[in-house]
Amino acid sequence: MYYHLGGMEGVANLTDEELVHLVCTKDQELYREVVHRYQDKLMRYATYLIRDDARATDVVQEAFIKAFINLRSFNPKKKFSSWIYRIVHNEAINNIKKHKREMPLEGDISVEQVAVGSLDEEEGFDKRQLKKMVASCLDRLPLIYSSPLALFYLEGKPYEEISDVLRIPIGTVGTRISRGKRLLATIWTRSEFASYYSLRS
Amino acid sequence: MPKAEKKRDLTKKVMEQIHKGQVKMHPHIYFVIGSLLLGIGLAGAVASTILFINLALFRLRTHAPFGFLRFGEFGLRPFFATFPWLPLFVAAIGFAGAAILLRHYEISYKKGFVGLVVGLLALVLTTGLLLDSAGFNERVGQFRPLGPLYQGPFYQGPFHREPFYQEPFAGEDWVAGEVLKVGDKEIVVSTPAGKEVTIVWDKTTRLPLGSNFAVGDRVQAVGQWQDEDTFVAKGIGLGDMRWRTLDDRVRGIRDYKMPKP
Repeated sequence: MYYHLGGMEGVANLTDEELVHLVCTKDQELYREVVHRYQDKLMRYATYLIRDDARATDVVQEAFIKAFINLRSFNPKKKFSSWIYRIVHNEAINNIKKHKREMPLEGDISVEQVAVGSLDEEEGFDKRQLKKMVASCLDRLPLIYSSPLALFYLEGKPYEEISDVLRIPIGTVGTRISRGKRLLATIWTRSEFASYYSLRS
Repeated sequence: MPKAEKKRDLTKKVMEQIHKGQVKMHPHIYFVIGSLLLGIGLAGAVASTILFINLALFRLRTHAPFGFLRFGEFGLRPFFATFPWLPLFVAAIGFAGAAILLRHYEISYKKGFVGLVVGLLALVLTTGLLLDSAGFNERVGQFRPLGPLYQGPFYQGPFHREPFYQEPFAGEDWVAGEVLKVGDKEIVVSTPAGKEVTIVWDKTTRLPLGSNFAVGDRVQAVGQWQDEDTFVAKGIGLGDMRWRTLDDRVRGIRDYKMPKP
């Protein structure tokens, strides 16, 4: 099936955009490679947002189907990664709304309080610690902060791509990541203190 | 289920639906038509907003509804009758539609949506103002299908009829016109529709800007009709109505300036 491309190795060497172009014009069976390339990343991202494996699987499957149906609308001059992440993001949001799950801010913490008080706490963390914090505390953040944080720290996306995925200005991406980090720092510190004192007692 | 199996399962499920024909790729033309319709929709929404803003500005200029508020409670009904509620409402709907359609474009998040909306608002207001200043409404009002929208004075065809949402320059308890003759406690005015009305007043009539009317002044009066041609005023005031007569249109635009009291 892939003999004209040099077999599976040939297909693996194609960029996402070239692959998508071939799926649209030559062989729809090549979509299998698209799914193969993105399913892990998209499953991870969907799970960060939804926190439920089964629902995340449904969301990603639905996203792949929608992406296939609308594949000819994809502009090959843009990044395919942003495009498909956008679809998964929308599907995840729809799923969350359907199940009416929105994680509120922790207890009495407000963004304003944290923004003023927690800069020192944030500066004490290095990148690895931040990544660990993001991974473990993401479900305690509102979606408005958890999405850009997950994309930046856990998926390694640059601001420009996050802007395309979430359809917000680049400046807003920076602001939300910054505020999200401050919130995380406070949540993390409180949870560390809570663990410390519960161990002691 | 182990992770590797879950992966194969997802790929299998997706490809199965494709093989069975349960999902089909939309053809390219589908998206081309979609883009075209989006563009046409946006252009249409912006154009209709401009048109109705222009119409609202025309109505505000020719009727000066805020002038009626000088007469207190007597001026409320003519104010509501002459204020361009419907054009403004339609313009607001058109503007909201344009803003919603604008969201579908990349520029709406790359350049900041609020800035774009403010820019769009400035565009429709400026274009509406320019259209009105250039005499667009006076010219368009001559076209029969649009005649009713632009009211009597600028519509001369046989299909003349009352506009569906507002009366022209006279109502149940108000009238506006240009002074033709000045008498003792009465003036004869001509509405832009060409109707001559004698407005009479007495010592109880509210005259916020005095009673020194001169020929050529444009006045608004509230009160009641004595008969078809006589209006007993409870309040009369100089109005800032800036309609352009047909003669003005032929000779060139001549804006009416309200005399200072």
